[in-house]
Amino acid sequence: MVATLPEEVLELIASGVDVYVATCDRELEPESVLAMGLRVSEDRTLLTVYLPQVLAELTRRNLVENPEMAITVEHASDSKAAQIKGCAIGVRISTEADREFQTMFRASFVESFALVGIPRSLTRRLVWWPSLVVDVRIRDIFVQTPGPNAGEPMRAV
Amino acid sequence: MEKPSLESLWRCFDGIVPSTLATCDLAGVPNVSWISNVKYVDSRQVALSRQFFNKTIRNLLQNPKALLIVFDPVSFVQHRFRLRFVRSETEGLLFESMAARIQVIASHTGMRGVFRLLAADVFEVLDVSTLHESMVPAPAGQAQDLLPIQTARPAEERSELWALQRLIIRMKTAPDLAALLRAVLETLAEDLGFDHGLVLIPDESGTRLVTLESRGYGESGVGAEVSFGDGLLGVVAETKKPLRVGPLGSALRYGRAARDRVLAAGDAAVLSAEIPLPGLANAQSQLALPLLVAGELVGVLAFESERQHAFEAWHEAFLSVMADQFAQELRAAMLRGEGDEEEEPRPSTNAVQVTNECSRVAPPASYAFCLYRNDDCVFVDGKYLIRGVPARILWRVLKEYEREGRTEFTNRELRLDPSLGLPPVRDNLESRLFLLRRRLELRCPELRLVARGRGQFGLELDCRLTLNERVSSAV
Repeated sequence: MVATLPEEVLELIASGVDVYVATCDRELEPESVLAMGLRVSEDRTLLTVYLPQVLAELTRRNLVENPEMAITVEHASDSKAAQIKGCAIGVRISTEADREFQTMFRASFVESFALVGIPRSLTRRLVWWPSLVVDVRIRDIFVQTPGPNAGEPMRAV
Repeated sequence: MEKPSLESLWRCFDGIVPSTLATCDLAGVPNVSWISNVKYVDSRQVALSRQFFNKTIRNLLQNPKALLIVFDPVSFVQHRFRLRFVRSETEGLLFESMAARIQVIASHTGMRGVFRLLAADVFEVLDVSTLHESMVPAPAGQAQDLLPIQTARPAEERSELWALQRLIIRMKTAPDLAALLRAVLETLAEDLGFDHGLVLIPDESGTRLVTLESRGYGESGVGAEVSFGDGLLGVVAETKKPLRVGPLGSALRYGRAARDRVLAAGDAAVLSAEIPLPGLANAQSQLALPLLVAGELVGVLAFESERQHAFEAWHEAFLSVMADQFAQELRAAMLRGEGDEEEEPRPSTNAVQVTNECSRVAPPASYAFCLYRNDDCVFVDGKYLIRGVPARILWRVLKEYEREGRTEFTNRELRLDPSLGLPPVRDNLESRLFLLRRRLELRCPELRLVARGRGQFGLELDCRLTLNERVSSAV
């Protein structure tokens, strides 16, 4: 089953978000990494996430055993958030062609954290290159903004 | 990879940078969620706050394995906790201490009763590792983002035991309530750098705290009130538990996001108005402790700072020890003189007049006092002065002066006057008089209630008075 990213999640991602990616191995041991890039395909059914390679070895191994992924995106200044579930369909190491996109993503990430008082001098030091690049086919999207309807499915209108 | 102890990571548990928790279900589908509060339980356990029943707890009930990532808010280095879910607590000390923090957020966002702790989920910590590789080294010479705390004493004179000893000596030798309050707030400012402090006591209704003394807030502190359950101070009074919180920004954003979802769901009726944070506009750290004697609340001691991490875990422990002693001394000072007054007041001087050089030159001040009976409060020159028992005491004194020219009074006659509403035992008359004196100092310094010795006080005026009574300030 393939899902399409709703407009509001697209807007959320474009607003400057922090992104966490979770995977698990066949023993059901979870793993999580702070991503440093998230791109949405034109038809909004695919995501490409960029994980700092130095932190992503366990994620890479997990994906070999189990392609299931959870990707959560949050706008730091108002806690608006969504969680996207799907399957990894491709894994590669970043190339120079990815650098410009990741540079722009990192800049908006740094600014979004500065808005909530985290100094730029700190967030700029987060390791981000080279990256493990994972393509994910979207299956489900859920509300994750704190509140009574957190966890409810979201659909593209 | 470095393996730090949980104790060494106390800064990460202040909730300044939200943490994340990854879990997965039996089908191998992972989930990752933000956690608003991670609490240190002991050297092998942490607890996570749960405000909503969600996918995370469903996963944990199937598969107890979890991965927690926390950030050091100063260095931004990530720490990974391999966890095993042990149990959910819905009552007891751990639950109550975590619930109190959530209650502060709920109170500030107008969501009392809506945004609340469902459970404290307790996890065994199987492994902790620090991801130094998640950060590239800081450029040489880059300034630190966190400045060291400034104290008036050199480090060698600042060990906890020395500070505690100084504090206890000053408390025990304080001759009266004013000196006791000054001793506590000044010593903690000098020794620990706590420049913004408040001492509050419950008013006679037992539903509000009133600020008895403050340091670092200028004139705005004394007399300020907060209802039980409102904000950090009100929650500490209601729960009788100490609370230490970092910047509330992150937690308030979380709470406001939940509030928006409640509003979106059409449940606005269950929400109340947001109340402003009392005290510093830019408070980055807050610490408040209940002052208890035999389980009874006699006051709240609170501090704020514009610095992040101004209050460390050991400060809370240190102040908890000190607060027990302070509570005893405060209770004793507030009750001092009860049943120990002289029988008769001194003869009144019967003169209302100018007594100092300055006022011979300038015309004497004039104050218009007004008692609003239904609101149980006194205004001076159209501005709020004081309410409750202190207001009734002031009115009695001023009316006696107006009627008979009396300027000398005894605590005993106040205690025997049923119209003042003082309780028969533990009436805290000293604290009511202290608060009244401080409010008069701030609002109309030419009118003073001066202690004359054991159980007596005098009214001194360098001003003219007019007294009026009305039914309600709303009229």
